[in-house]
Amino acid sequence: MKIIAVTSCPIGLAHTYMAGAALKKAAKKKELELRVETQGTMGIRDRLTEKEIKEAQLLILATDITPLEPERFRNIPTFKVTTSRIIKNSDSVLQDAIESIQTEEE
Amino acid sequence: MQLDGIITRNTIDLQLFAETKEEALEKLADMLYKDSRLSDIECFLKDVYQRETTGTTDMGIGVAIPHGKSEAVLHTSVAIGRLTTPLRWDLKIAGQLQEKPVYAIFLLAVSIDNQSTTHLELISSIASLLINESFIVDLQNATSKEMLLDSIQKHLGELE
Repeated sequence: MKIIAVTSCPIGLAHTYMAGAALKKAAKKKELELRVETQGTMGIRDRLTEKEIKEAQLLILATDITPLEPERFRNIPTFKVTTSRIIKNSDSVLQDAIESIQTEEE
Repeated sequence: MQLDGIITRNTIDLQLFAETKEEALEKLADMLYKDSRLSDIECFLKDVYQRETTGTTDMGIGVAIPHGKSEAVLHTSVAIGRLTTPLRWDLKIAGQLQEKPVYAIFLLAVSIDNQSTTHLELISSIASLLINESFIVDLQNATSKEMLLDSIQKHLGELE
């Protein structure tokens, strides 16, 4: 399964990058392919490519403020969550996100 | 990745005594002020509290990361305080009673005038260290400032 994620927070200094790192860690544990784009004080970093967005089966949207360029992500099954929930428990967030699209498929 | 003076011996207190969040913030800001990193403690803390009102900076993992981008910051810095007695950062988070007390505080002070990308990258990388279990073990057990600084350097190196 190919997963993409976008993280952001009000000041864009801490939560954005911690949540990004936590998601990567959780995905590695589950051996899943996951790419994170951070939208913080340094602007969009590790920007998701068109190809990555097109191929993604799931978008984890952890944007505590309005995401930048959201029109890129139309038509992708989306799981919304706060950055703080990811920081506290990235493993269960990732599991919930995956289950959310599996339920939809049934 | 070099620390570039963002964290030094002078910005670490491994035996921070504070009974409240306010007291902890004041002591950490004072440490930065004494090291000529802030021009005005009150002005800086005002910006830090402004951020606190938009949502808690207690990460729910025993560490709080209060932060302020402020005109009063002369040099972008991180003050680290490890508390002698853990404290409750916020009583409630999203309406829920906060169970886990905070044992360490990373106070991020970012300069408005000189927002070098290198420094912002460092700050974000230092925040990311806190989800690394091996770094957390070192943070809890470091018996000297040098040990903590070495561990920060080591783990930042692994991020690259």
